[in-house]
Amino acid sequence: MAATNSTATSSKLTALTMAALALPGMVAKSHADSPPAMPQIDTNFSRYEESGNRMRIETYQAAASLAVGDNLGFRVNGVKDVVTGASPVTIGRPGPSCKGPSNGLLVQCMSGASIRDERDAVDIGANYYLKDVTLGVDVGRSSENDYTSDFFNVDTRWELNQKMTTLATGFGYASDSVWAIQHVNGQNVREPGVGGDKSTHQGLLGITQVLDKNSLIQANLTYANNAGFLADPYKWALVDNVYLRDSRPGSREQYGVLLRYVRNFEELNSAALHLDYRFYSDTWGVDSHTLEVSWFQPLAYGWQLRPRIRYYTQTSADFYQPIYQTARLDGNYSSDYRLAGFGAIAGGIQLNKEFFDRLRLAGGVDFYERQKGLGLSGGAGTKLDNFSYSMYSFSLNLKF
Amino acid sequence: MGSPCELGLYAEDSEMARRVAKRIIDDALGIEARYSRYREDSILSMINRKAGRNGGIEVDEETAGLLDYAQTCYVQSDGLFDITSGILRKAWNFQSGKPPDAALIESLLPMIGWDRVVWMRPRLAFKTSGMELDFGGIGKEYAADRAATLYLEYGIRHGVVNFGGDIKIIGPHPDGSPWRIGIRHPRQSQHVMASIDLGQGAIASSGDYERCIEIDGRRYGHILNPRTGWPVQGFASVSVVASHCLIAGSACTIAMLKESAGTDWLEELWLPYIVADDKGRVIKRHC
Repeated sequence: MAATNSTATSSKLTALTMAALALPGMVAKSHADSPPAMPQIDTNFSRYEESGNRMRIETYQAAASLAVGDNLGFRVNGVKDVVTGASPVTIGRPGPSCKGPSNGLLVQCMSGASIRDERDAVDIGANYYLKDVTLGVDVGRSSENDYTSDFFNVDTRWELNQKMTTLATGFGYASDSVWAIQHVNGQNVREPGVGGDKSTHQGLLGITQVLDKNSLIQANLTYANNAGFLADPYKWALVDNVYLRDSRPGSREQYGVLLRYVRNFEELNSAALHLDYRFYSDTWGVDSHTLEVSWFQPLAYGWQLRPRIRYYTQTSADFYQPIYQTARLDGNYSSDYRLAGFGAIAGGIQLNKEFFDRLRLAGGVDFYERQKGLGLSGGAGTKLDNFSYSMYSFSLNLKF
Repeated sequence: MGSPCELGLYAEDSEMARRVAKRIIDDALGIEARYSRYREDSILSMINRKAGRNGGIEVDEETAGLLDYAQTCYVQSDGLFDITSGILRKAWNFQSGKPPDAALIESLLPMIGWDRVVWMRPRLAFKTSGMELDFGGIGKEYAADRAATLYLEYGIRHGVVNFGGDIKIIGPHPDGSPWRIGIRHPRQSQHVMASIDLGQGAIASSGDYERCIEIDGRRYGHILNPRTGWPVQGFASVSVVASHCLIAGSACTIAMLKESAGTDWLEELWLPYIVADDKGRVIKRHC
């Protein structure tokens, strides 16, 4: 069948379509509204590699879900990360105590390349499906040799207005402990007096509105409140020619807004455009903007291609400096590159194929380039922290 | 539903297929029970009994949706698609083969007209007593679209619903190939006039061949003009492809009602269509 003229919209057809879609049962409930009918297994492997022989992370993830009756679904999820390589410790002056890339005046001091850390995380969740409401709860633990986190989340989704509108709420709590590990005589020893506990409360409020049969908009507001030890126990800052431990305020409030527009193009074999804009702001003075465009293109024989591109810009935290000439009254010092002002461009492509409606295989590659000069938001920072990474991922999803 | 219905689907196993089919049949029977004019206890019969009384009747969400849809069809067809015109069946009996009583038709016309209905969601009232609503041309198509939704909710991606010629495609065959839909020849019932390949969407057909009588060599189809009370004299058959059966079905009916202006009206929809005129000429557009 030849495509109908896709650019022309018929007012008659629009009127009929709107009236038809307003009827109950004309639009399939999204898959989130009923438990997966069959047991399901998802596995994923990804390899993240930073430029300049820095950090490398291999992630193995597996999840299984199972429905019990028509209203209840359970899911268990496990993740293992293996981190190796060096990471930046601070920005310093050339000298024996600081080794790393230099511009003559400043040096990006790197940790030794012998870091190897493993993170294991497991969480279990349950969803309860009522007629228009889905209730979810999830609890889990994540542990490394220098970090533990216990967390739980509860969320609700409420569909109304004949499923044209979805309201979502979420609340989460995490209790974390962080410390530093030193290598002494070939042994891992906990460094005394470094680190601490932190707690995070977070909330989410979201609305998704179906605009017509081919488009929807979504807005999510998130808020998080962190309190406790929020610094990085491995990082340092050069303050008036003295290296001091990274130290940050004991609380941080984070605000986020996500605006998403999704449009399907039936005439292009049901391709879909996703436009995301995210704004983030916190009480440390970090503001960021993210713009992401992705395109889902179903091809013949169950193949699907998903290219995407993302731009990111952030301002630096109020107390961030690459190096400090003088001491600060509040005693907060961080030269952590993640708190600097910078910009980044990222892009990727994922290809997946479905076999017999049971098995889906996906492979993807992503590239990321962070540069001081790409930032539009201003703030302190240094080109020494420029880096790039690539990430390869492979996933398998099996329904029984 | 008064016509043969078929479900075709690819499921994990026969038990799954049975479960889905049962759910769909229950749903379709539910729609029939709610909107059949032959059932005294249907919502439709209750409306027809009570909407003529003072203050009318308050209807539920689903019925309100159907009334809104019918009103949209009325507006978009410039008053030709009219769910109050079903009362004309009192004058037209397509089984008997007898010509209608012209005086009876005349006497029914004052009871026809959506403009004689006050529809203020959720309240419906007839301005003229004796009026009746009939969801023929909406109910079966609505049931087919809902069946397709149920397929999807059971995770079925490859299948087809055929409710008496109103066909909704859930998705192509598992190898990606489309479903081939044959369109019946309006004059030779065993022959296919045209066929069309669909991997998604819906197709519905309307024609003067389904129920008709011939009087003095002249063919009278069952699609009646609500203003004259007499069958339209336009196309022998119209088939329209749309996203939903409901839209395809009402587009066909409106095109038939528009008579010679039917193809112009279809052009305004930008939907693929196939029409056969009374000389047997076939026009295919956007297909």
